[in-house]
Amino acid sequence: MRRLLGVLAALAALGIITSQADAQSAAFGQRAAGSGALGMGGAFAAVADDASAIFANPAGIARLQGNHVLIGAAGHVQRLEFTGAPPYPGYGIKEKSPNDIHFDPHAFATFHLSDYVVGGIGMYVPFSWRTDWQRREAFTGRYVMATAEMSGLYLNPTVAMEVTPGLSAGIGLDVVFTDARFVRYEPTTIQIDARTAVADLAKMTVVMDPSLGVTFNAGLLIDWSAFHIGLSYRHGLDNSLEGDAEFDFIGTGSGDLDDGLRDRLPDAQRASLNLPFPAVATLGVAWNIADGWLAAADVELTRWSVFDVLDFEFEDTALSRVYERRYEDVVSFRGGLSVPAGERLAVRLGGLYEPTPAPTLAIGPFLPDADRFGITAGIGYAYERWRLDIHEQLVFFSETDVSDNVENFNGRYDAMAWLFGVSVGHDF
Amino acid sequence: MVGWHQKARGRWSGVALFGVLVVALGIAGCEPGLAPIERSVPKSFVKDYIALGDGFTAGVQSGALSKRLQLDSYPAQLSSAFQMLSDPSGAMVQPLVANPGFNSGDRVTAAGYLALVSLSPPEIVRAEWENPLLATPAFRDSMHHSFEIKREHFVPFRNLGIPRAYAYDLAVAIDSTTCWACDNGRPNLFFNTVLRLGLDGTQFADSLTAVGQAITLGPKLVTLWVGLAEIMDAAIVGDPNALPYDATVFGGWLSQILDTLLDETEAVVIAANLPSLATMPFFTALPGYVIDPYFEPVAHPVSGGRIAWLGEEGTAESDLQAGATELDDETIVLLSALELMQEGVGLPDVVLIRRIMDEQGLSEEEATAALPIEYPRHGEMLPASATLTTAEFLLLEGAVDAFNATIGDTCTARDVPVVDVRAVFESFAAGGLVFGGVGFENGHLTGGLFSLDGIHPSGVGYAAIANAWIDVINAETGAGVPPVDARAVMVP
Repeated sequence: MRRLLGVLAALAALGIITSQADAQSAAFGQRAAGSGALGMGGAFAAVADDASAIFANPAGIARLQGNHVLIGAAGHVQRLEFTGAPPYPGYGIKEKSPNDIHFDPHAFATFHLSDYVVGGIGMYVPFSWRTDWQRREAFTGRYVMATAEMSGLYLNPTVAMEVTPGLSAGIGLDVVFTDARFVRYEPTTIQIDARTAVADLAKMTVVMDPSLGVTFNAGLLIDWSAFHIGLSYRHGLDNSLEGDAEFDFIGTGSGDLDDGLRDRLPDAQRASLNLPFPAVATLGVAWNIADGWLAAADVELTRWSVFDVLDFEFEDTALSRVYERRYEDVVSFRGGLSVPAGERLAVRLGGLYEPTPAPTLAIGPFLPDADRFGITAGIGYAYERWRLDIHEQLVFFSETDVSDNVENFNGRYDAMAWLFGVSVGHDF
Repeated sequence: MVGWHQKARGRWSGVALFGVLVVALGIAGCEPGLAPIERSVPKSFVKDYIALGDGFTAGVQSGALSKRLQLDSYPAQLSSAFQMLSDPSGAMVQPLVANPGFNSGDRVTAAGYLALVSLSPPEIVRAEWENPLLATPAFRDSMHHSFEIKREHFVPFRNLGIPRAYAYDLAVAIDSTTCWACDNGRPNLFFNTVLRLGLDGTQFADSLTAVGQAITLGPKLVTLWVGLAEIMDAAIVGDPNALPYDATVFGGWLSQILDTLLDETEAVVIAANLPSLATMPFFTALPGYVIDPYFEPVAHPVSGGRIAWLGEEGTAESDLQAGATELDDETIVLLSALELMQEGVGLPDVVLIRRIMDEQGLSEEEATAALPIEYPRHGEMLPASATLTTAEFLLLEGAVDAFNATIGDTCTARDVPVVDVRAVFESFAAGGLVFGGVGFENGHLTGGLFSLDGIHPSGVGYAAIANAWIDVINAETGAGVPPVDARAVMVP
């Protein structure tokens, strides 16, 4: 057990550093299950048949026999392109995100506490995002946000039991570590040679202190013959972050004007940001069609409406900014099929559709988003006490035209993402 | 590990349930994305658009009509918006004046635009005209000033905005001597420039007014913004009595212009109302108390409170300057008074002496001796032409309201829509605008929405005005003109 916790702690640290994905689920939600689940499009609330059930439906671990460990990582590459429109930044402006690969680690373990009660612990990242742009210093949206990265890492001790034959229940405590960093360029307007110029007064970097929050999740599983119904709920979290803001002077390059602008450079100071995580409720159904054939579907409600405004506050209130989000609750759909291919191999296919919770007024450099449709494929290989799952996913984002952005940064967003991952499980 | 599902057996009766789910997923997944923005602009708007007005239409900024600044005029920005999706070849032809331009405040001198050279303390200078003879085919008027007007443009300009032109002038004036405010000694040379007069002593066409020239072009769209020059000519000299005529007379000329355009062209004609003076930095940038060169208040040597300006329109005797009266703090000190203050006008001697001591490290005695050299007009009060009492300001604001009422009534009677420019200027004052996360407001020097003269908008301010015109154009014609590209008028 001590060794297991050591591994989880190491992965938790890795998760804070590397979790970047924003393509797996709407807005900044992530599918944090293992690759077995993700190969079926992430439809796992009623399946919940490996240790990553701790994320998808904690009741599922009550049905697992023996003790289990599952670790892995999911990576993604996203291509995000922006084409400007008037009034700002105007036609002819094209911006791109860097083609970096990012990883989300996950780790789960379950162990029997009695004949009917199973304990478990999971480490995963269900909420994170990173928005970054090539040519950051010249990015036309840098006055809104040049870089935004946030990671909410959950450490999730869980207990589940078989209440009656065919009915399992589980509940978990979510200890949430949130880490965030933001880079924004502070503009100043000035008359240069009789025309209005927008100059970069300073580059502002805000590094939030790691914050700790606590919430919970719970689930039910009902088995009825070959059919299974799963209900899962993850409570939201009011997340208040505080951190340090620092300012690096840039100026106009004109000595006489810069002398005056230096007087306006803000001092290093504290900053705060509310960043709520939404509650998520999932209803899943699964059907064992025949030996080894499994179909599953999830319908999920995410209470994104908590993401109404983001108050980015500074001690110097002139720097404070209210980012109006007005997100709406959304219902997303996932479905998948697992087909046996020999005694030890399973082939998985899946799809997902997730509408964006963001109205176009909130789609901007801070957190771009769009309706997304994804297809997934995966394989699972079981050998004695070992299990290997691999998945791949393509996510297509709807082209989104924005003409009413609240920061008046308008244009067309186009994105596509390729996701992949691997999980290794061991029974003992 | 053996999953529970591997032990179960299929139940074909569940096909229906999964069918529903699969179909639901399929329908949701196939939902089309947002359609691309479809815009349409009638081509005739691009090539047959004419702008009529005063200096705000001509594109005056920072006190001058100058080529670089004219390219940011709202008609030029409107034309660019028309071009974006329709006809890239149809650029607005304006009477571009070579940089550093021609001073709109003084009709005969060759001084150019104002330029900010320092922020700490703020310092503005007027750009000098170093090269009056230009290499491009020159247009020479009788005063031997050069203008960058190309010979092939021997048709009327499409931007017929003439700095300081009144409604009367658009309807009646044909040159620099026939405008309302032109007397023989101080002709408004902008008329000659914009109406293409003076080249080799000839005219483009005999005795054609701005409205007459517009008609010859057969426009399909005419924007008309007039009336502000009348108000501003009175306001900038601090005298509401200098208003050339009242709203009734103004209405008569406006009616004549509209009737002529509507009768003699097929154009969609759109007018605009006038902004409140209270939204312009020219009337708000200077506070009602004495400030230092950094715009910080100067403390009273005895009470420690604020010090009143010395001004002819004051009523109370100054306790710091014998024989002078001081302005009450409600009196508006016009931005034009800054130039006088640099010579010592309006500030008590004790303030100026203290300033010399601080800046030059002199003793009080030495500073007192240096006072006439450093501030040759010390002890003088701000003239009435540099200030507006509350009563005077209300009279001028009342004139704006009366002109606006006339514009509304006159246009409504002819089904001519009116752009609410007053609301645009009020938005400048009430929080300003945001473009791409950059805040712009109506503060002087660094607000970004007004040029350095404190009266005329900057290119960004003109962009906001152009967008207000576009809203009305789209509502009136269904054209779908996109907003103007505000980034194009900002210095990157």
